[in-house]
Amino acid sequence: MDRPRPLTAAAALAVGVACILHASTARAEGPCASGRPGGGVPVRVPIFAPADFAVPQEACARTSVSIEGRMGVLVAESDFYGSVLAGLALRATLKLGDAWVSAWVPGLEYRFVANATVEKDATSLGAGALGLHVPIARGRRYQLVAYGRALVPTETIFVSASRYGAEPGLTGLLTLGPKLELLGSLSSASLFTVTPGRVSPEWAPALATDLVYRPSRGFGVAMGAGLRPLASFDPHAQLRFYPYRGLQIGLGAVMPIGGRDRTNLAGALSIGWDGL
Amino acid sequence: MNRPRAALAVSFGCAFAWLAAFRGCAAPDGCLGGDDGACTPRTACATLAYSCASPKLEARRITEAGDRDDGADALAAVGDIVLQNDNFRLVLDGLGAPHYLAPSGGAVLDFSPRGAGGKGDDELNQVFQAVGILPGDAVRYTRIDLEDHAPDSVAAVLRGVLDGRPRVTVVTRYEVRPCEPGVRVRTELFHGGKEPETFFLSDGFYWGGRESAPFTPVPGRGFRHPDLDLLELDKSFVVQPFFAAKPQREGAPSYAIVACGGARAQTLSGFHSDSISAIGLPRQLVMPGDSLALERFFVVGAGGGLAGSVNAALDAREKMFGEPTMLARGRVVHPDGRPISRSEQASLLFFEPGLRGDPDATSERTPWNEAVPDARGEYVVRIPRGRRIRVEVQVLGRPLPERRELSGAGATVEVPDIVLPEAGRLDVEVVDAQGKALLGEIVLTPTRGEAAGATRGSIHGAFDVEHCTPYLGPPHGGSPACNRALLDSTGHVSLAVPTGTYWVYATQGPFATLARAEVTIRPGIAAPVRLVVEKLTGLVPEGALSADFHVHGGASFDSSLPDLDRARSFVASAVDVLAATDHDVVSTYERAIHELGFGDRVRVMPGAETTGHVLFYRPPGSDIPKVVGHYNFWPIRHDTALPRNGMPYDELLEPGPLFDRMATAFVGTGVIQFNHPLAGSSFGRDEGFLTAIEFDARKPVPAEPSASGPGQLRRRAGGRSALDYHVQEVMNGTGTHPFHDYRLAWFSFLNQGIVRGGTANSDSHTLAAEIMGYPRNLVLGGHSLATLDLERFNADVRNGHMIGTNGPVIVASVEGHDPSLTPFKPKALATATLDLEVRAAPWIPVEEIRVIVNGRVKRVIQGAALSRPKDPFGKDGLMRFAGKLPIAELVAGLAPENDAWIVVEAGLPLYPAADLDDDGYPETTDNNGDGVINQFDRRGYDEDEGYLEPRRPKETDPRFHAQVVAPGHWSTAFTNPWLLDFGKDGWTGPGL
Repeated sequence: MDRPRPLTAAAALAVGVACILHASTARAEGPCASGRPGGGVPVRVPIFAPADFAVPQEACARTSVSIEGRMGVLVAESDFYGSVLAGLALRATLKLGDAWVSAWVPGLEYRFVANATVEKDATSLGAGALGLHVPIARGRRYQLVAYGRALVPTETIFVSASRYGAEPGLTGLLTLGPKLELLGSLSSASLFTVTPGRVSPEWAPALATDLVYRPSRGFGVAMGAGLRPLASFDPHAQLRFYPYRGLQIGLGAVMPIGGRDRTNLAGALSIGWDGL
Repeated sequence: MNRPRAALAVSFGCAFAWLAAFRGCAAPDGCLGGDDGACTPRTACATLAYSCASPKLEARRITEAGDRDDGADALAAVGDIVLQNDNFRLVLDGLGAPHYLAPSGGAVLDFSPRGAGGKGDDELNQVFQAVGILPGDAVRYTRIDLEDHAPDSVAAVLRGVLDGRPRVTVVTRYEVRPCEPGVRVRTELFHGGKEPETFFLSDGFYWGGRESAPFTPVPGRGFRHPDLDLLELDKSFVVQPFFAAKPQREGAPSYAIVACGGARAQTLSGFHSDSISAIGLPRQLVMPGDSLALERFFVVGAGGGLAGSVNAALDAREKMFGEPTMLARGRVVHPDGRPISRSEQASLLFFEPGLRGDPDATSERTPWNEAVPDARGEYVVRIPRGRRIRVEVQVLGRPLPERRELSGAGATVEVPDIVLPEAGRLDVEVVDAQGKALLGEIVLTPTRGEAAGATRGSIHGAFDVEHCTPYLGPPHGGSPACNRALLDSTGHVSLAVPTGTYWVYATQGPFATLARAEVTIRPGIAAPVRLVVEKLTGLVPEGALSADFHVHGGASFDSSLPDLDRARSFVASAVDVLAATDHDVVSTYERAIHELGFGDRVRVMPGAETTGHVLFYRPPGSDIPKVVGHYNFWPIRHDTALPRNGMPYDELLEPGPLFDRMATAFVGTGVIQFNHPLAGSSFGRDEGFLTAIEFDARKPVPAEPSASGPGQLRRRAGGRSALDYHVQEVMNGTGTHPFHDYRLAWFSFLNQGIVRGGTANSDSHTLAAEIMGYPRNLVLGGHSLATLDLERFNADVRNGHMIGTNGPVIVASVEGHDPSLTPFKPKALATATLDLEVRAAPWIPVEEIRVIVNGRVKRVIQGAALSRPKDPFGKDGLMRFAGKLPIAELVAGLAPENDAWIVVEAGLPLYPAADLDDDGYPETTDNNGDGVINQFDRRGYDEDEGYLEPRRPKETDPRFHAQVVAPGHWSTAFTNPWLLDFGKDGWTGPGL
């Protein structure tokens, strides 16, 4: 740099990420070494933050692309409220040595919200996100990945606001055998909705753990639970199919229990290619 | 670090720096970022500008009683907010003084154009803000700040939250500038909640069903709106450039509201009905953290149809959006050049023809404005320029077939005179037997051979009432209204009447003779009619007073009837005593009665009808919030300094606590009346408490409060319970369905020892739709109007010392005991008799007398046992039955130690109806006319529509005359009970 400038917090964070990136070293061994499609992937079921914020991220470097479908239903008879959210987006990861970057390309979202008989539906462009994922610790059977994601404020659902966000997190993978993986995730998403004169922050920490059983090459099942403090306890499950080479199909669901999140049921469909 | 990693690091650095910078974009804009207690919405309608010679501005709180405009809906009280300029005065109710549907003060309560030095005229019930239809969707304001920037502007800033979502803040700013015809309003909402919401940020205009007619300049609309179904609300939304409302009361102001949120917000979205309009932003999906802003210009125009306000609305749109308009001036005259008279009810509708087919088809055309010619026959309307505009003239509620097209492209167009033939006139004089002027009423109806539809009318499609033929005036307005008119103090009335042949009836209530004449009306010719009406002596028992305990006037949110006409109707229907029971407001009619000199002819007890608006009550098993129905209270204090004229706030209270609160307003020992206990729902609000709790008259009321529907009747919060009313309406209006239901509930209560008096009231809101004094109560006890002791009178009411009737008079006693709630033990059962007379005016049919013991009909007197007068227009043959019925026969079969009650009914047989859904109340009539009531009669009818009231009979039917006088009339009278105490431990209910 030719001329020093005052560092903002965000710039400092960027430098930190760069340092982590630099610190990571390429090693060929580890739980991700097999390169089998679907390895190290937790259950990614939406919990309604934009662009899969607060959703566990993968633990292994991949170059992949997938179409991600999301849906959630909330029916609250007590106050005559109901909502449906459905969305479609493109998610891609690019392997860069041991690290990888991820991108959530903004897609279309459909929302329907009923306030008694006052109803409205809208189709809008969703948010995007960019992420950087760096392994920070690895053993023969485990890998720990740090990641940071930034929300790209492309949402058009807002009338006079924009939403920004950042999410640092950790994902850990432990292989328990040739067919069994244990995944854990800790993230701390922060969202900022900005209207003229006001920033409405929302902090959405999330903890999740999944057990992935892969009885055969073509099929896997994952079950686990998430915890969003105050918001919800989220038992979730996913069926995974690998019918042909890198093609993978995931079908998952979550049923939030307790807490502020009144979502009755949410589901996710993922169709993609792992290992481009 | 290798190159790709370095590039990646830089990319992320940029992304986060961008995130760090976004705060700089968030410059405050009013309260769009939420209410911090100091923010202020900016001025609405920024591009709007007016000027005038003598600007005035005022913003203040009302500090003195009487600081209130005229107009029956004016309700300003001490503590309310006034914003005023040289053109209008707007009143916001104080925070602690909410009205009607709003959960707090801060709603627009009065809005009146400035009169020429005098008081303005208000015709507005309420305008409040909401985002949906649930109670929690309404805005609860918690603070009002006044801004005084005179001479530029004054404003009131209202801060609050959604009543059911405290994290959604709403700030509304009403700004008044000099010279302007309306108030600039901007509402800013910030969604601080957690879930996406659908908000319809809007102003709710409460019309009440019988007041102003909403108008939208939309193809196929105008004054015509599809039925509003709260469950199918989506179908009712319409987008419009502005909306307006035309009053039914002559001379009352009109209102309009115009979008003014800049180039991207030139229209308003909403729905309309004659009960309510809601208008504002389109329904919007609002994410947490997002905000909405609604700007509008709310104008008021002086009387004379819609033009007063729509002219200003279109002018504002031209100023803001550059939409060209022009003024059209003209006259409506008769061929001899005389202006059209007000009584001809002329109205001009200016519309843009549809593009397809018939240019005048109501389904295609776009109405833009409406004008009522003034006393000189002149009108001025603003209409869009550069469009094809046609005008339709309506006289006496019907459009003339010939429409004319306006031509001209300038800013002003002089429309050639619209020349109309003069309508025929009817000059009626009604006198009594001594030739003295009679303060009565006349009713017109087409004679045989005249097609009723040919003279039926409406306000360009609005308020089209079936029996308003011939149409003489708006059905809910002052006289003439619908097909009837009040006589003036000289016994005269002169009316414009559509061409045709009519019966002209003259009447002064059911205890006077009925007179009629046939008259043929021809254009331009006056037809004189003189009729004689006599009070029938010997019909009403000595010392009995006619009383109606359920009467509404213009002060009610659902009545447009001027006080003077309402007061005249008291005398015209020969009601001696009445309870003024306007919805949620105390009325006295004192000024009108004084002005008319009626002080010695009628006595008004100030009262009110508590009317649940805010849904809150969830009886067991109910998934939706409800209200607790309606109750009347009288006499209560009247104080114009207080909100609602002194009526306590009556929302969010179950019946018992409501009674407790209302009792604090009684003057003396008041009366609590359980109104229409099984009435249905209107706009999602149950009008009868028994409906709300799904009371089944066949099942017992628990002895203690319980988690059941009937168990709600016993609930109390330390004071009264829902059963602690004094009297219950057994008859309400002329409908046979209510009588069926209410008497079953009353009988059920009597059987269970819940002994309350039964009343019969008109629930009249208008001159024409519900007729004053039909039915009424004859309160016994030796009362005299001249020396009326209200305490003693109301004691008789509470004690059920009265009969209810819409014509027949039952004079009956048992061993000298009148009907009342005072039990007695017959001295000698073997010889005791029910001494019974049934009398009626000759035009009131009496075909059956029923004696009911413990809820079961024990004796029916009909056929030859009853006499029938030959001449319905005479004064002979009043006595229809006189006899003595042995009590022993009536109670035969009952256990001798059990107590009993007896009620007598007289008139026509109960209208045939059956309870096919087994809920305890009849809901189906013989709709297919096969003589049997069964499921076939329900085909084609919705759940609540299977009971069809009797059709209007043929002229030869004895019921015809009463049906003309009081539409829907079904001759009925009932007594209060005789409580026969046969047991030893006082009177107890005989059981279900």
